[in-house]
Amino acid sequence: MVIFLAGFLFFLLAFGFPMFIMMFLPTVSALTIFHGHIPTFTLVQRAISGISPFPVVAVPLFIFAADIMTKGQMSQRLTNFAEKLVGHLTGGMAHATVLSSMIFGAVSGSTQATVAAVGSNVYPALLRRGYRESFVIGLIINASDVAQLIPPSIFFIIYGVITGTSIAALFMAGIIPGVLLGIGFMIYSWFWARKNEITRTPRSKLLDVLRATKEAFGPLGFVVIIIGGIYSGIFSPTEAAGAAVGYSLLIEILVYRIIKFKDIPQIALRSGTTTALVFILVGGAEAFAWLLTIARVPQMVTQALLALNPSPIAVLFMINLVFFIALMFFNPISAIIVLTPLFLPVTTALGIDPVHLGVLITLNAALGSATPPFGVDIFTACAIFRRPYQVVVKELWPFIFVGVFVLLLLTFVPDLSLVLPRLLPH
Amino acid sequence: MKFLQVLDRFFSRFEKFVVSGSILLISASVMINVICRQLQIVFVGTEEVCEFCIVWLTFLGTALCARQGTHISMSALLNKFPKQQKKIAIIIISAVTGLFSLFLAYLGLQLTQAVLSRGQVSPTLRVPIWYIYMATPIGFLLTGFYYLRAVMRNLKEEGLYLGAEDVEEIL
Repeated sequence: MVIFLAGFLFFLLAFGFPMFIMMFLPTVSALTIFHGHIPTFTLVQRAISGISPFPVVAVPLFIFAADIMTKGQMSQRLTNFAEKLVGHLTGGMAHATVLSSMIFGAVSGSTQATVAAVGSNVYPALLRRGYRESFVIGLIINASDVAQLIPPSIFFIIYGVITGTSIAALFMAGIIPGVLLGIGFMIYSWFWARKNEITRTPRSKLLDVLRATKEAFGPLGFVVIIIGGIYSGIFSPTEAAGAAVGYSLLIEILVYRIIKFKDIPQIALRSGTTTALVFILVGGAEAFAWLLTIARVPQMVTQALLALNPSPIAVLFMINLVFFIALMFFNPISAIIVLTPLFLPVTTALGIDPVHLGVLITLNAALGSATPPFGVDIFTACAIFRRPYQVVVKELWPFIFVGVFVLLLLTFVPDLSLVLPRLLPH
Repeated sequence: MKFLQVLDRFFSRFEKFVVSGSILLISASVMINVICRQLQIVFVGTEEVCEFCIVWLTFLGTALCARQGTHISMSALLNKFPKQQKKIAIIIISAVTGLFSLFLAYLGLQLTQAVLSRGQVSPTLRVPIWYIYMATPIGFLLTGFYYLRAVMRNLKEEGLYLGAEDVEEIL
């Protein structure tokens, strides 16, 4: 049955079928053929139960908050602030891009939203300063990976729901890895800018920095609300998401006054459409994962792996490899939902912390979605910047290399992920 | 024909209303919940309102994306085909997707009937559970219908169409 499923899946993938059909069509056929005694509509029920757990509600709320900020002024003020702060260094504008992605990541939690929000602001500025087009796009795509690690993160929410891991702990665990990845990209940008002789811009006057900081007060306050709120235990992650929506509406409507009340339903429609695109895949992947459980695939994987008597590091290494390859082809959220339950029993048996595993899987998901041939972020970038595929993928590899390096570092040093969650109040 | 157009406009409005309304309702209920908890007022039902909204949002949103042809797919290989073959491929894909969505709608209907016959209601708000499940047959029925319309559109008109309508630029 597994061979039938995998074959069918790749056939639909290669042919270019919509992703949600790729999740449902093979599952429905396999269930009918191999498990005829189970009513087929159970799959639809599984799809519904995949999207209805309460913590999942945080996803549309964070998407909504990010859309409000993108439509309003906050994301622009943020990039401006980052530029004033680090713009004078070698490769300054590139550092500003990474830095704004990191801060915006603390708001949005979705790579696509970050590519759209930060990318459209910095793209013209980077080109003007003489950065090469494919470098710029590679930078923007990969800098947005950081957004998945820095809380809030959609991947963490989904992973937390399916594994029963504390989402607050996952959020905290992502901070240090996210910052490390950002620093890694900055170091590469520094070398790139030096080699390509990008002219440095003069340091901003202290007064300008202070003014930009003042203007960026809105978006920076966001970081405090979300990370501070979850960290101190005032908010659950879902409540923090609700607070994020409230805060962004308040700032954009009452303080910056760019968005009007009558714009809100339009923004909600956009966020709702984005959510539906993601959630139909969540539901489909949930049905797919359930079918694998019916067929006892997780048990088979567990037995096969434990028979090898592997070390935890070897298992993590293998999981990284499987995810990295799978994500080159599939949508990250579907991959997380389908693949995680296959490995969770093994890692639990070997005493690997599920929070640690969550960080690795999330970083993998972020990297994989920027990796050719089929990473989803590549296609987002093609659409947003209206550039052909070849230009977009040309200079992705150095960034992916940096990402893999950070991934290995996190694999070997669990404490980088686990130090902050330990400090959470219980 | 006039009647069909009116019906179509109605569904388009209905989908957009559900999709944007759900987001607003979820936001409002979570925010009220946060405020109430800080003020130590008990406010029940947030979880059930959200569950209801999420499910309707997802399935009607799926229909809306089908209407506009914005569902995520791997078009890399497809884009390498010459135009005429690509058109044929899109017609086949849309036809299979449309028919299969109709089958999913049928499964959703079976599920709804099964839940309806059990007569379950939600624990706090006492709303019948089948109200939630009803979203699947309606959502998939519209999805299937729009994909089949995309097939018709590709057959009738020159050019390539992924959806029954073109995407409206929202922002």
